[in-house]
This record gives sequence, C-alpha cells and structure tokens, in this order.
Amino acid sequence: MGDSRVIERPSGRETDRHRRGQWLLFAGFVVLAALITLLAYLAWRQQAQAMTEQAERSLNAVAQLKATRIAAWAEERRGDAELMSHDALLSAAIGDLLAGRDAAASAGRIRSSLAQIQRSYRYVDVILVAPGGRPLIRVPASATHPLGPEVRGMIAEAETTGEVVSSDIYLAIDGVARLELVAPVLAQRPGDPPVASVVLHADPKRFLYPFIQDWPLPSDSGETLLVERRGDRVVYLNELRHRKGTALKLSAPASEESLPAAMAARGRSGIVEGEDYRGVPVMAAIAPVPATDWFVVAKVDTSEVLDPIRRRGWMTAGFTLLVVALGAVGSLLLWRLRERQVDAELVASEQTFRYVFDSALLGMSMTSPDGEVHANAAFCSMLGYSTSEIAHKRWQDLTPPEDVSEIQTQLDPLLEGVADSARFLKRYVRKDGGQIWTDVSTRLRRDAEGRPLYFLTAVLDITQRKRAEDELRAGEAKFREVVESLEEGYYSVTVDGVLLDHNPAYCRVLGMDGHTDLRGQRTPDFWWREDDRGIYVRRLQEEGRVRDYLVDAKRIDGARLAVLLNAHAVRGDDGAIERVEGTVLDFTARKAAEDEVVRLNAELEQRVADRTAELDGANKELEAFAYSVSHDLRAPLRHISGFSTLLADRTTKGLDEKSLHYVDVITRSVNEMGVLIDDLLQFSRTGRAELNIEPVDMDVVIQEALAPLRHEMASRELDWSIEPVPQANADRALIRQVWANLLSNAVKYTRPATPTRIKVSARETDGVVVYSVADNGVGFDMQYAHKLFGVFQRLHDASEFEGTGIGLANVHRIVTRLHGRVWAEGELGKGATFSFSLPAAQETK
Amino acid sequence: VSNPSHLPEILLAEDNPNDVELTLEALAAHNLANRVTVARDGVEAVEYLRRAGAFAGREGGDPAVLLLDIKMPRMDGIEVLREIRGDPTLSRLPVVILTSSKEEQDIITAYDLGVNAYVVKPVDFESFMRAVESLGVFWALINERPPRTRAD
Repeated sequence: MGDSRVIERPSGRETDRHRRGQWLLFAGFVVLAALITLLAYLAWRQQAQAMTEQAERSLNAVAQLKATRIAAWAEERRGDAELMSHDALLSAAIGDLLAGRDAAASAGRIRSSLAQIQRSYRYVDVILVAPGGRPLIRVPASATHPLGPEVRGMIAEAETTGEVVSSDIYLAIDGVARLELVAPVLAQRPGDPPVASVVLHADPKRFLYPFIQDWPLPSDSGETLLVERRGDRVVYLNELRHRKGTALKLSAPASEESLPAAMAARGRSGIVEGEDYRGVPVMAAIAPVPATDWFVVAKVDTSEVLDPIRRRGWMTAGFTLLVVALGAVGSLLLWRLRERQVDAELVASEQTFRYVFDSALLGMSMTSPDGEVHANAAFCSMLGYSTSEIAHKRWQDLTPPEDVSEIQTQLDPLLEGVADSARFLKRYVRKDGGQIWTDVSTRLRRDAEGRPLYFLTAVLDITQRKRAEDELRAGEAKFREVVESLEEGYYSVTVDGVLLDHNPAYCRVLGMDGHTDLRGQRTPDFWWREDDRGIYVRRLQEEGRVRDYLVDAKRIDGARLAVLLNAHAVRGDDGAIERVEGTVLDFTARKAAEDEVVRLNAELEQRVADRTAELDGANKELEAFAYSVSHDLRAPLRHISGFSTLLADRTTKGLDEKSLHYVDVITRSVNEMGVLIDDLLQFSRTGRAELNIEPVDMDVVIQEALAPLRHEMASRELDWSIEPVPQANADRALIRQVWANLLSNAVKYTRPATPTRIKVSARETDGVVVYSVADNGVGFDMQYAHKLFGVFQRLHDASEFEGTGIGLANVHRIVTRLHGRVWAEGELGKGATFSFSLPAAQETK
Repeated sequence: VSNPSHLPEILLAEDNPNDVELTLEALAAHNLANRVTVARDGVEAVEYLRRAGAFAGREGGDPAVLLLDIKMPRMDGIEVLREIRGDPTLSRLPVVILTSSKEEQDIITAYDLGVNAYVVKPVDFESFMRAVESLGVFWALINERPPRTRAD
C-alpha cells in the first residue's frame, strides 16, 4: 500500500450533506413554483371575478336604462292620448262636425289639431273615428287602410269606458308591428258618451326599436330584447340583432329553462345565465318595464365576457410558466455550479489532508479497524522505522504486549459508535527495542453507510516531558523529605492567611503535635504583638521578603516564645502576591543564650574599662616618673661631668697620669649613664606615644634609618642587599626606630666579619608582611634567644659591642603595639636574622 | 643675687646652684659672666622683669635674653614664658629655654607660646660648655635686641 494508497474521499458525511443541499434546493424550487402558480391563479381569479362583475354591472345598467326609457316613452304616448281625450276644443269641434254645424270649418280645425299631434309626436297616422267605428278624418289623408279588428275592439272599449285604451305591440295583418292607442274624446258635458275616438297609431320601428337596439357600450354581442309573456309563450317584441324579421314573430315557450327571455317571463329579474334563442350561452340582465307587461332583457354572449378573462388567464399562466421555467433553469445552474464547487473543495480538501498527513511534524497514522497502520514520516521517524518498513505492521506489533488489551479498551467505544474520539497516553516500541511515551488522539472515520473506515490518529512524543515530569516528581518528593525533616517550621500560606502547606516542625514550633495537618485552615493566632505582624506584612509587600526577623510569638497554649522568621512573597503573573512561603525557627533557647552572651560582654567591657582606667592611672604615674628621671637624674650627671672636668682643668699641671685616667673614666661613665637614661626615656615614650597608623612606604623608611649609619658604613666594607619591600600599616615614626635599631645592630655586630653581608628582604603572605634583616655577623646562641628582647638584656660584653640593652626591647614593644611579632634566628659566629611582621597595607607596591 | 654695676644683659632663671655655677663658668670664657643676673625661680624672674617685689625700683632696662629653666619651684619656666608673652611690655623679650627635659610635650608647648630657642643641656660638660657659650655670644652680642616697649 504505502504512499499509493488512495485516501477515501471523505464521502460519508460530506456527500450526504452535499446531497441534502441539492434536495433542499430542488424542494425549495418546487415550493416556490407552486407558490408562484397559486398566486398567479388567485390574481387571475380575482381579476376574472372583477371583470365578470363589471360585465354584470354593465348589463344591469343597460337593462335598467332601457326599461326606464321604454316606460317613459309608453307613458308619453299615453299622455298624448289623455291630452286628446280631454281636449275641449277638439270635443267641441267634433261635436260641431257631427252636428253638421259649420262642418267644413270644424273638420279643418280638427284636422289641423290631429295633424299637429301626428307630426309633433311622429305617429304614423291619427284617425278620428265617429262612434260606431266610422273613420271621420285621417291624418295624413294617405292613411287609408281599414281599421283592423283589434282597433275596432279598442274603440268599442274606449267609447264604453271613457278611458284611454292602449294596445300592445302587435303584428297587424299587414305584417307590420304596430302600437295603437284609442283616446275617447270626451263630451263637453260630463256623463255624455264620448263624442268620438281618436286612434293614435305609433310605429315601434320608428322610435322604439332603434332605441332598444341601440347598445351604449362597445360590444360584439350585446343585445337588448323587449319581451312579453302571452299565454304560455314569451314573445320577442323587437327586432333581433342576430336574426332579422323576427319582431313579434318569434316566440318561445315560457317554460324554456335556460332561455333568459323565458326566465323574464317567469318573473325573474337581475342577472341570469343561460342560452339565448340562438342556443348560444349568454349572460343577461332582466328588468321589467314599469307600467307595462314588458321586460327588457339585456344580454351579451357569455363568451364575450369570458374571453378576455380567459385570455388574461392564459397570459397569467404563460407568464407564470415562464417565471417558473426561468427559476428552474437558474436553480439548475446554481446546482451545477455548487456541484462543481463541492467537487473542487473535495479535491482541495483531499490534497490538503494528504499534505498535512505526509508533512506534519506531528506523528500521524491511519489505522484500519483490524489494526494495520499507515504512518506518516514523522511517526515513522519517531519509531525509528522507514516508511516501507512500517507498512503492513499492526499497531499491536508496535505496542508493548502488556499494554495491548488496555489500549483496545480505549478504542472499543469508537468502534461501537459510543464515542467519536479518544485520547490517551500510550507506549510504543521503537524498532531498536526502546520504548517511547506518547500522547495519542484518535478519531474513527466512517463511510457514508457508517461502516468504520480507519482511525485517524495523532501521536505526540512526550517521552522527554514524561521523564521531566518524573524527575520533577522525584525532586518534589526529595524536597518534601527535606522539608519534613527540617527543624525549622516551613509554611506556605495564601494572602488570606490560609495554610497551603507546612511541615511537622511548623506544628511543633507552635506547640502542636507534629502530625497535625493544618492545610486548608487559617494560620493559628501567632503574633505576640500585633505591631510585629504589621512590620512583617509591610516588609513582604515592599521588599518581597523578610530576613532573620526575630520576634515574639505565641504558642497555641499561650506560652511566649522567640522565633526567627524568614519569608518571601511569591508573586503571580500579574505581579500581585499569591502566597507567602517561609520558615519559622524556635529561637527561645538560642535567644536566652544570646542574651547571656550580651550580658557577659557588657560585664566584660565594664571590667575592661575599669582595668583600663587603672592602667591609665599607672601610666600617668609612669609618665611622671619618667619626667623626673629625665630631668632630675640628668642634672647630677651633668654636674659630675662638669665639675670633674673643671677639676681636671684646674689641676692639669699637678695631676699625674693615673689621676687623669680616673677623671676620664668618670666622664665616660657619666656619658654612658646619660645615654642609658635617654634610651630608657625613649623606651618609656614608645609605650605611651599616640599611634598614627597608616600605610608606610618601607623603602623610604629604610633609607631614612640608614642615614645615621653612613659614617660607620663609609669606613667599612659592607655588602648591602636591600630588596624593595611591600608597604605595611604602621606608625611611621615608631617603625623608623625599629629599622634604625635592627640596621644599626646589624652593622654593629658584623664588625668582625669580612666581607660583611647584610640583607634586607620581605615577603607578604595572607595580608601579613614579614620583614627580615639578615647579617653574617657574630650571631648568638639560640638557647638565649628568649632574652634578646628583654630590657637591659645583653648577650655580648659592653666592651665588645657598646649598647644599653634597651634597643631590642624597644623594637619588641613597638612591633607588638603595631600588632606585629618580632623574632630572631641566629647561630654563634654565623650571623643572625631578625624578622618582624606587620599587617600589609591596603595597597601593595 | 649678683648685682653688677653695669647693665645686666643676660637673665638666668635657674634654681640649681650647680647649674648656675657651671653656666657662669661657661659664660666666663667670653667675659659674659659678669653680665648675668640670676633669678632663683620663676617668680623672681617675673618680678625682676616687671621691677616688682624685691626688684621694685631696680635700675637698668630689659635683659638681652632670658635663659629659662623649666623645672623650678613656685613658678616653672613654661608659666614664666606664658606670663611674658601675655604681657605687652615684655612680649618681645627673647627667651631661650635651657633645660634638662627632652620631653616632647614641653618642646611643643614652649614653641607654641613663642619661645625663641629650646636648648637641652648636654650631660657631657664639653658639649654643655659649647652650647652655653654659643647662646651667650649669640644673644648678648650678635642678636639685635627688640626696641624698648617701655620708657625708664
């Protein structure tokens, strides 16, 4: 398998999601299309209804209008007749005519009256009929047609009743539709029979029919019918639009169900639907004509009403279809686009996954459910295998056998579908047999049907970290051990005073059993004085620590004890104090001892002061003594010297040689004693002189000390070896005396030696300089070395080497006062070396 | 007290007669001995200079020099020196301390008080003679005396 292994397209979930998206898109489209259709239908429905209503309103209006106007026309005609019936002049004229009085004039008047009416109201003809039915006057004269039976009947009725009689529109025998009114011309005397009747003959064609036919709105099929029920039939009174020559000739059974005219005859009014005389579906409005038996039926073909609605419907449907089709095309395009995008994403995702997997620094593997491992480079190198070596290995082969079952229990929940992922620590066996600790995160991938595909696992090598943790743990254990065994109490406490940690000694210091566990509790009441607590807290806040704070504390039994506190504040990342760690040491015993030491010291100091005062007194006495010696002893010596000399001078001639010798001895003795006294005074002064300790340049001092010896040096053969020497802390004047003494001694005690060698040297060790003056002179016997530095102690005869025996005592006293030491080494006849030590000066040469 | 007829030029304040004799012996070599007046202690020396006490109405002016021992009864040399330097009429008087004391404190004090010289008497008589002779010759004969500060 190896690298050629095809990574499963992460089909399952993502493809599902993809498909669901497509379905959603499709469903959305369908719903939208349905919605659009529904809306279009509703819109069309509403429009259809509106248009229908519009048509109905139009029909109604037409029907009502025509009915009203037909009624008005009929009324007017009746009015004409009524007018004539009650025309007194006409009646008188007719009476005159009939009576034969002035017949020609009367006839003329009647004729003109009738002609006026005929012309004015556009009657076809007006005929005056004498009682009994004889036509008297015809206007126009051309109207010669005989009176029909219908007219005769009407005349008879009118004469009888004295009321205007109106005919229906009827079809006369000549085949012409006519409407006739008979007005009885009433006699001038009430109660008399009418003098004559006037027959008014109106032609429906002239006025009524055109009026009826007239359709006020543009319409292809609009038609108005004037119908009347006659018996069980309904008669069409007017000419029809769609069939000529039908007036009064067409009739239909009144029971005809779907015929609007029949419906009118049956008393219906308003809007009806049915089929007209042609058998064509129509919509009609029926209106009765007032004061007549007539009905107006205004109708249009249903098709004319419905056609635009249908047209609109088709248009709407077409438009809707267009919109839906466009939507469909759009959705399809979108779908396709998404499809491609998803494909591209899938490819990219696969590539990314492949890249991440191969090049991740983190160890990664894909492991089949039965354990076969496909590892990336990082994982391989972690285990020390090459990519090819690790192929076909199972994770169980790479795991310490004793761990396998436990790891399997970690993986089971994933395989069972209980968990999505798992994380655990796991050991792996490297190719070289070594083991590493890893932190493992794994996730089980499944295919679209939910079958396990492989575990995708990330493996982090934490061997180092684990080792560090183990070491840390061991270090902590060691720290614990040390802390537990401390004699000092250890505590770690929060700023609120809650103990985080402490050791047994802490409890013991506070007077509790060492096994008490105070962690999580507040620190016991500890401070003897509240002020001390304030100081402790302030130092921690300001300096971050408290050092060797000796303070009184309280045990839990109330006893007072002295403790030595050391503590430091531990700050968090934000700089605020998080906790305080410190130690507390029971110092009571030690403090008592210390107090005793202080007391003893004070006592000792007092004793020293007392003794010093005593010594000062003694020194004062000694000083006074020395002063007296200086003054009082020297005077007599001087006198002895002076007067013996004067005596010798006075008796120069008489004094023999022996006497002169005695005077000479006296004088020399006196001089010696003078020197002795001077030396003693010098010795006394070096003990009392105030010290001025400073770094002294010894090279210079040595040269100064050598100056008084020049005289003797000039007369002898001296081999000097004077090395440069370091500086020392000393009193310059006093140390010069030391050098003068040692150097003059060296010169003095080497007189017998030839050649004479004197060496001055020094060496510095640990802040101490040791100066030496070595000579090859007479030396001394080491068994008497201890006497060298005593006052008046001499190892040589004064006659051999002059001196008072005070010089080295003085050297010893000075060096001792300067915190040094002086010693001598020598051998009789071989020479001597005198050495002294001094504190080295701060700055060395 | 010797009282020569002519003006004394050296006043020697010295309580020890041996020292007086030896000093005079040394001065005699240059004929200066008869110009010496000796005061036996500090009080006498001061009274002499101020013409007070036993010396009231004495004749003559101030000495050319005062040779002053330190250790004397009643008033020691240091006190005498302090008196003289504190007295406007005597403050310019040449004073030489001639003493056995080599004590450092004495030397410092004397110089601080304005002594003109400090000489330690050598024990050896030869040296003593030379020292005193030199002093006498220098102060009595060579040195120019300060102007008198007081009319006779």
